[in-house]
Amino acid sequence: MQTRRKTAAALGAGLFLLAPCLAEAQAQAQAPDPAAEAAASAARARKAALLPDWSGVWRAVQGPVFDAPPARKGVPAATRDHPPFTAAYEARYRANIARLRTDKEFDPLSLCLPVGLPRMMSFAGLYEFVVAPDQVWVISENAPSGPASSGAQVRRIYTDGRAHLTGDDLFPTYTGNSVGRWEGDILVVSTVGLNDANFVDHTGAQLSGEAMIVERIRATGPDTLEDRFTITDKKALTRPWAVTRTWRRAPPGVAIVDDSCRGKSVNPAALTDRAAANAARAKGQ
Amino acid sequence: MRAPWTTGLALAALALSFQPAAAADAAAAWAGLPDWSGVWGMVGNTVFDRATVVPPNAGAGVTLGAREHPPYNAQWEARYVKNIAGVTDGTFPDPATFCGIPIGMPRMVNSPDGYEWVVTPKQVWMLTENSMGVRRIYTDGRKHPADPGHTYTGHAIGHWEGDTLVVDTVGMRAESIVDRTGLQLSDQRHIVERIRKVDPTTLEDQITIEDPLALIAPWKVTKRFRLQPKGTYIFDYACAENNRNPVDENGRTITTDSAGKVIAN
Repeated sequence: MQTRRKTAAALGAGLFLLAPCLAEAQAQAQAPDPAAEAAASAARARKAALLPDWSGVWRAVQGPVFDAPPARKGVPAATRDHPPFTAAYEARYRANIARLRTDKEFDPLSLCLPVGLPRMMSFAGLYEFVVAPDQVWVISENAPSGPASSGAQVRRIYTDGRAHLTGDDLFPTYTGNSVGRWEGDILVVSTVGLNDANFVDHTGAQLSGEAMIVERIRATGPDTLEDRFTITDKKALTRPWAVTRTWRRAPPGVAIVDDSCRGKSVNPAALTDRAAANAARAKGQ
Repeated sequence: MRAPWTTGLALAALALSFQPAAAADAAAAWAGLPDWSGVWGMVGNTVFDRATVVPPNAGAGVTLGAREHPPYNAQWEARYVKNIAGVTDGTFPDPATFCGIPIGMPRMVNSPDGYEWVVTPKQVWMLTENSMGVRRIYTDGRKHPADPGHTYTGHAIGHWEGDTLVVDTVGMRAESIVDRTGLQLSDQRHIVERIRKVDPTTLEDQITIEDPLALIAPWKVTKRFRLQPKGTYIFDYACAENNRNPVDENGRTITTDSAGKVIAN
């Protein structure tokens, strides 16, 4: 049953497998410590007061091509990216583009594999940017993380000052290992340890396992978020690849619901909420 | 590529957000919220109702024929008995094993591997490593939609009673299973949970399930979660990667080697 979980829970995998027995052995409850809990709560509130409020639901502005200019009247939508690829990776990209014309299953998404980074940041649809003291989560509604999941791709960014994992602990994963720090209201994120089988987007662009992604994420207004990516990759790129993606706050009442790569997805709650939001807008609220 | 005015907007936004009033508002919004940060692991195995399981200490899907005793009505008891027989002869495939539909609620509070409880002023997220589950609990005062429809995790709203998060969930789908013994509930189920930290390293979820179609009395189950040591990571979970447990044409879960050859069924 565990064989499919190659990338999950490797650090402390033994710990997780043993967790039930260990936890039961230690199940003698410790004494509650209300004073310590109150102090921890107050410390979090003090830290949270310094963080920006990115709560709510955000909708991607750009289309799914990762590095495409904004859509303009009379200009056809981009069909491919133009990263500063080395000759070898440009050739690989062209081969992928050609293969995708006939072999749709070549796209990992068609097998319900997690889309990972940076692709999860360039999906159409809704996002949450969950800011808390010591950690930020990015949750994309439509970027699948595989079957049997709630459908959303989840990304964890540690802002508690820890460094990247190293050595054997930094094995390749779909979302990689992300650490971040706050420069005022800007979240600066560094990601390494990416799976070289990830697609950058549906066009078939790929990076190597050496890729390092630095992002500067900030609110550029009350209802807009911007993520400025700088990707370096000494195997795939001849120079840094700079891409900016943006999100706009979704109207009140828009909610994210389960998606499912293999199940039959129905979103009646969202439709209801969206209908309510549309009605509210029509009334000029 | 950026329009020159974007910078101006950004500066304005920065200035706005650094106003002491905004920080004071944020501090007030977070004040009193408990610290549930860190990675948690469920205590015990994935038998949902361990208080009633027979034989005691059975493992769900491991101890064939094991069963729990929810207050099912006769019809749903018969259905459960049939499911148990299916688990035993391999014809009741578990979606979490063959990579099918999302596990949904209440199975999301009955999973192995890591958990995160992300507490923020307007919303709480419960994130599970296993199956990469995302559950959203709105604590901003909103109500359930008039027609919540049916989703795997349902529609969950919560409020704080001191340090206890009280969660009300409706609108879940019928086809989910609750655990691998074959437990199921109807899409009319209504779940109320009281979640609190009972000691510095233990979260407790007191679950009460009502289901007018399947249950004759409220079904009460308590799950506990243990804080894992600092430095424990949650990683991506890819059910479809190297999946060796497809379901064959007879509806049985099989196990294959990496080349797709059947090695067990």
